[in-house]
Order: sequence, then structure tokens, then C-alpha cells
Amino acid sequence: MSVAVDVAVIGAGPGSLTAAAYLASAGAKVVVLEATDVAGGAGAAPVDVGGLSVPGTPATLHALDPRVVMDLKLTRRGLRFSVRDLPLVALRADDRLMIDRDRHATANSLAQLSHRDATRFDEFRRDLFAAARALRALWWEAGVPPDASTRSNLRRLGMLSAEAMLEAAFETEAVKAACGFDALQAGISPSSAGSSLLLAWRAAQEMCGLQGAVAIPRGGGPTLASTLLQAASEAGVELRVGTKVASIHVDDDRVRAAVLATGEFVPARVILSNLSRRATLMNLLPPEAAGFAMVTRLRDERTVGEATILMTLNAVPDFAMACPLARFVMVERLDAVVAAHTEARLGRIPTEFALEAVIPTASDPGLAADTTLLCVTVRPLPVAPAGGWPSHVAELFERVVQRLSHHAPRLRSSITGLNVVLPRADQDRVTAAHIASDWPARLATPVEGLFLCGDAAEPVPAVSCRAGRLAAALASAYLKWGAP
Amino acid sequence: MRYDACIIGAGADGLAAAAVLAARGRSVMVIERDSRCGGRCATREFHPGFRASPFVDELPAIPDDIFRALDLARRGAIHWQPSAASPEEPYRSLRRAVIARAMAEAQTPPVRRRFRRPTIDPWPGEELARLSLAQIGAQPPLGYVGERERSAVLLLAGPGGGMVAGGLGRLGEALRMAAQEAGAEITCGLEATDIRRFDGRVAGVALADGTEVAARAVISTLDLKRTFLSLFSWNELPAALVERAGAFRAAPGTARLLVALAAPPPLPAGVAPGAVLWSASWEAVEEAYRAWRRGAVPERPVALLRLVSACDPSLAPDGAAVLTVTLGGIPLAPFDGAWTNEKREGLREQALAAVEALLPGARERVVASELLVPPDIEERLGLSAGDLSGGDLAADQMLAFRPFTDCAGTRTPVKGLYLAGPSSALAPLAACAGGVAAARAVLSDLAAGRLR
Repeated sequence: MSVAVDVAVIGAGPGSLTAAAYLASAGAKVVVLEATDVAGGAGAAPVDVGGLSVPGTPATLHALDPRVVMDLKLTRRGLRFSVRDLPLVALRADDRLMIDRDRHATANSLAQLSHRDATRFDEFRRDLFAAARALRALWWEAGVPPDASTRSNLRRLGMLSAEAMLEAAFETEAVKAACGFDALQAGISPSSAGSSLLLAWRAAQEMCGLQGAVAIPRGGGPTLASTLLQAASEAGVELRVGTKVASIHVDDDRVRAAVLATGEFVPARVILSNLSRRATLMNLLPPEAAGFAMVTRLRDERTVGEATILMTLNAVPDFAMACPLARFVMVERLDAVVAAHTEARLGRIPTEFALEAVIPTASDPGLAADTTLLCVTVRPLPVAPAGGWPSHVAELFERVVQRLSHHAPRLRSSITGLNVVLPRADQDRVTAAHIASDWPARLATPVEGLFLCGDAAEPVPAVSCRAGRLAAALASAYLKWGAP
Repeated sequence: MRYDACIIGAGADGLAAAAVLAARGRSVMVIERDSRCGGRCATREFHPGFRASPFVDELPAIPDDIFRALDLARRGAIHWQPSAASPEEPYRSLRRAVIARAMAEAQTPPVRRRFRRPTIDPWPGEELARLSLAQIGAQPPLGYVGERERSAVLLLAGPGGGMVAGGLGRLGEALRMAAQEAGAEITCGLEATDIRRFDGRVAGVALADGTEVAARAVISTLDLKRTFLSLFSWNELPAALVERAGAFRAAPGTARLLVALAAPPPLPAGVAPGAVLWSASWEAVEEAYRAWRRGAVPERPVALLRLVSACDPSLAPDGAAVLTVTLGGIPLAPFDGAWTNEKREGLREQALAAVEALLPGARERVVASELLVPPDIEERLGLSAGDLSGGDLAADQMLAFRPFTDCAGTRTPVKGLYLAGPSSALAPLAACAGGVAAARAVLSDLAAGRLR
């Protein structure tokens, strides 16, 4: 048995490092237990693309909690952004739209297709941003009870599908499809009730002081991990890598210790888990502790996810010649993507998926010397296709390259390396009800002293560190006062 | 004379509302465009000797208390239960709870405080609305055309109340008698063209012949779009309201084929006479839905068959039979132009092929058939887009959100105007209930002095 700690954190992702840093700087004794040899989560380890080591995914950040950046002094520790706000360029068979923060530029671009949509877009964005700001109270602001108008907004958005929202707002398919890519998150179909909350959630974020912005961190994903790690270790967090947690010891409905795979006990008063709710409650807890109702609710795994394809190129692709700093979104029709979602849910690679391409090297050439790095996100894809992923990867590559080649004819010959980050199989199924729940409910578990602090506790899974900050608040309240 | 209420449309909802209002001693005028009352409660001879209800075979069930209060059974509306052995339907109690909630809200409107929106508790059924059909593992509901990711709230739209002996026209007749015996006046063959407003509230209804009916309250049983986009002048209503009405989404259109058969076809084993034949898979209904979204007629339309004469022999001559085919996912205006005779013939051919596939041997017995496509339904029933459901049954267009958010039930943002048609909250759940809810709202507002 090792020395008793106040807080044991399972997994060393961005969320758990944030929680650990907050708790340790508040004076708690914290240990982080990471199963792999690298701390920092999925984005921390470099990926090998054609013999070149490039920073892993995600290439862009859109949800990082500004409070965390401020409180943990991440900027002083080296977290910088090479681009603060990427515009969205929608590429379709015969039109090209640019959606930018500059509303006049956006209106000009949209006016090529429809004057009505050009005037509508600003209104749409303003209403969505306002609704999103109101919803922050429910999603993460501590101690603010959602008022009547937030609840009313939430109720309406909780019933509205993203498809219906965009259908009502715009008349041209191009605009609907361009806005629809952000609704294709978390494995929820844009036609299902409540999927408009995904758009609202995106709009509620604040990156680099700009609402709803998408930013590229300098140095890629590892920078965030290393700055968080630095903050945590400075605060006095003990990090143990290569330490797999096998189970959580529960006594009297309260956590007592984390039990390692080696059989070692790490006694702790509070345990935070960076794993999915399903993995935490079903694999780490004794079956009776999670409760029958919870286990039946968690039985379903996420079936639809997204993949990221990383390519190194020896030339800038044609579609990015004019302005390489943008998110290039390729969605032909919104309703085709809805159909693709059904196909993905049934375990097939959809016939028409949506793509988003970003070129991080355009703003940060230091990432990969003399090459162009292209990160392509493909949605929606099955988490477990029939026959397993290995038999489909080549087909996926081929079809993605084909789609990209419509807008960059010379792309195929310029590829020097490829790698793919397949859909994550370890995520919880997200429902509209989950997104609409308030934050203490998302972080809490049926066991006293056990909280979630990773993706699973976010309304929509993303690198945000927010759940870590909130979990730290819950944990320190628990350490101080006990269960509420 | 100034009436207490003027009702536009003498369908099931309008007549039920008129009966309830008149029974409480209020003066009521019902305006009907058609020469006969009943709306979709109609039965017509489509071929000599063969009769059928052209638009629907049955309405959603009428709640028991309304059925008894209007004394419909004595007036000749005898319902024939499609299959007496149908299992207990899981959403019945939830549906009742929703109806009770809507009725309660009609009687006591939510209190509006100044500068503050009323806080409205969620309606029963909103939990169901957040689930998708795929999540609850449902098979495609009867006649449904759409995706399995869609909200399960449409399961609240109840099963039919059963066919009426003698056709649905008999139910329309019974409702007309109920309204007239209670003292309501009914004017048929005259269209309402405008809702007149004075001093910010409804003052009456202008008719096609230039006369006006002055009324303290108006109940519209037209759908949302017709009510707000065609009964008011273009600049009379707030832009947001007009926009909301314009953005109300229609459900996939329906086509109906009424078929006269020389003799009843042999039924497949295990199918009760008069039962519904429906063999659509999710793939088929999703394909039909996607075709509809593109504005195309699906290659294999989703067909729902019903041998109506098997449960109501009076509809066909002796020894013959009447079959109705309901085709789902038919566009109002196909992408390649309006409905032409060739397109109609093509659809009729497709429908008959679907009939032959489900009921082998039926095709050779066909004597005559009549096809109704969505524009026909739009023209004859006056429904926008020929959409029988009066708006898509999506989560944001059902329950408290139908037709307006925070304007739940039957009242509208226009003072003195009430909505009871297919776009009202209760219409998909139960027949006549929307009309009765509107009537109760009018009664309570009249009593409380909210209507001058």
C-alpha cells in the first residue's frame, strides 16, 4: 500500500491534468495515474507520417476554457496560437463560400448564391451566439441557476434538430451544408431532436477571446499537454506513468482507494476519472456500486465517430492556394450527410461523408520542415465497421483522396506520407439529454467521492479542460465538506 | 349580429368546437368553404356503387369523454375497431396526460408578468421527444415516411379510432347534428377570405361574398400557414410571427388511390379482414423520404393497403370490394414540373404494382380506380402542401411547441384568434380534441372578460 493521498486522478489527459493542477495548488495532495508512458492524452504523442514525426491530433482547438488558460497561466508557460480565428471555406462541386468573422466579407461571399441568405447569416449567427451565451449558465458557470429564459431557450433547442434549424434559416443548400459540418459532432445525427444544441455549444465557446472561434496552437497538440503538465508539476502533483488502474475500491458507497494492476492500493479520499463514464462505472467499479439503472443506461457504446487523416504533401493543395489559413469544409448536401449518419450507425462506410481539411503548416512552418501537413477530419464514420477497421482503411484513404482531388487535381501525386487516427472506440454515446443536463449532473457518479473530469463530463466531447476545472471545484468541496 | 365566436372550417375540430360553445349558450357561426360539412370526414362515390373516404380511412381516436359529451354514438357514428385483439398500446397513458395538460392550459392560460416570459413546465412526453426511433428500437410506424433518427414523439400520434360504419361521412354528419342541435349556425359553400382586426384584436371574419361576420373570437381550423399567411393582409402581423408560420415544416405528402375491385382478393394467411397491410422496412421508408426531399416520386413508394369494404360492406356493391392505398413520400410539386397526366398514370401504375405485391391476385380484379395526389388534397381540403398532418411531426413541432413555442395549446399571439386545425397541439394525438380545447379556451376567456 502506498501513501494515502487526497486525490487520485485516473488518466493524464488535458482534463485530469487541469483538475490535478487546480487541486494541488489549493493544497491537496494529488497523484495522477497514467496507464501509458506519455502524459497529456491523445494529442501529446507525435504521429509518424511518412517517416516524419508530426504533432498528433487535434490540429485545431475550439473549446479550450479561457478560465483554465488564465488560472494555470498557460500563456506564460508557452501556449501560443499561430492563428486565432480560422475562417470557414466551404468547397462544393461548383461553388466556394467563405464564412468569416468579418460580416461584410461573409455577406459578400454568400450574396453570390443568395441575397436572402447573405442578409440572414448575420442574424442567424447573432441569435445563435446570444442563445449560446445564455446557455453557458447551465453548461459550466458555477453557482448561477439557469433562469427562465435560459430554460426556455434550452427547451426549444433541445427539441430542434440542427437540420430543421438550418432549413428554417437558409434557402441555399451550400450555406446549410457549410454550417452543418459543426453539427456533425459527438455521433449525433443532424436530424435527431436536440442536435441544434451542438451548434449552440460550439457557439458558446470562447477561444482567444473570440466567441465561436477555431484556433491553431503553435506547436500543435503537444504544446497544450506540455504546458498543462508544467502547471501540474509546479503545483506539486505527483505523476506516475505506466501505472494502470485496475479497479476502484469502494466501501460503504464511498471511494477508498485506486487499485493498480500490480495489486498496489493507492488510498485516496477523492478519485477523478478521465475515462469515459462507461469505462469508469462498468470496468473500474464493482458491479453493485454503479447501480443497475446506470449500467443499463450505459450498455450502449458510441457507434458513430470521426477519423482524422494526416497527410504530408510536397506542394500546397490547389484549393488552399489563395488562402491557406482556413478550415476547408466539403459537404455537398446536408440531407445526404444525415443519410450517411444512418449508414455509419449500421456499420458501413457512408457513401457521402463530410470532410474538413486544415493545413497547420501554413501558419506554423516549424511543425514539419519543407512539407505541407494536411489534417483531414472525416465525419460521420462507424466506430466499428463490419469486418473491422483494418479492412476498410485503404478504401477510406482512396475515397478521401478522391473527394479532395475534385478541388486539388494534383493532390494525389504530391502525397509523401499518410497516417490515420481512427474513430475512438472508448467514448460514451452522447444524447441530446446529456448535452442538455447541467454540469454537476454530468460530473457526478453514483459513488461518493468519484467524479469524472474528462471528455465524458463535457456536454460535447472536445479538448476543453473545462470538466477538469469543474471537477476540481466539486472535489475540493467534497474534501472540505463531505458529500452534499 | 355579433357572434361570440366564429369558426372557420366545419371539419371535425370546427364542429366539435361549435357544439361545445353552443351547448354553453354562446352564439356560434361556422363558415365552411365546401358545400358539405365534415372536411376530411367525407365519403364519396368514386365509381358507381363504390364508395370510400377519399382523404383518410379513419381519424385518430376521439377521446371518450368528448365522444360521450357530443353523443356521437346516438347520432350514428358507430366505430368499428380495426382489430379487437390489438395489444395494449404503450403510449396511451402518455397521450392522455398530454391531452389533459393541453386542456388544462386552454382553461387557465399561463400568467404573463410584465417584462417576463411565463415559465412553462415541460409537457409530459418531452422525454420521449428527445429519443430517436432508432434508440427505442421501433419498427417504422404505420404509414410513416422518414428517417429512423427522427424523434420518437411521433409515436404519440395515436392509432386510428377505427372506421365508421357507413364511411367517415357518417361521423361528419353526426358532428354536424351535434353542433346544430346545440344551436350553432353553419354556413356552407362560402369561403372565409380575411380575418378582420380592430384595435389589436380580432373583430370578425370577411367572407367571399363581401359580407362580414362580426365575432368576439375566431377559431381557425385551417392549418398554420393558411391561417397566418392567407387570412391576414401581408403587413398586418409582426414579421417574426409570419416568419415562424412560413418556416413551419410540412410532412412528406400523401397520395391516395381508391380502388374498386370486382371481388374481394384472397387475403394472405394471418391477416384479419379489414386490417392494414403494410410491409415497409426502414430502408424503404428512408429511401422514400430521401426521394421526397429531392422532390422526386420514390421508385418504390411506401404503400399502406386497406380493404375497407371487408369491415364495412356497405361501401361496395354485393360481392365486390373497395381497397384504399395510401402512398407515402409523394412530393407536392415534383422537381421536374407540376403533376401531369403521365405522371399520375405512372404513379397509379406504381401503386397497383405495390398492391399486387402485397395482395397477389388483386390487380386482375380492379374495375376502376381514382388517384388523389397532394395538389388534389390541397385543393379539396384546403390544406397547405396537401399535408394531412398539418405540419411535420418533429420534436420541435409537437407538444408545447406546436404551433408556437410558449404559446402552447390553442391560443395564438393574435388576441382573440384560436387555432384548432391540424397544426394545433392536439390534432395529431386525438380527433376533435383540438376543437374542444379551443372552445374551452374561448369560454374561459369570455368568462374572464379577456375578450370584449
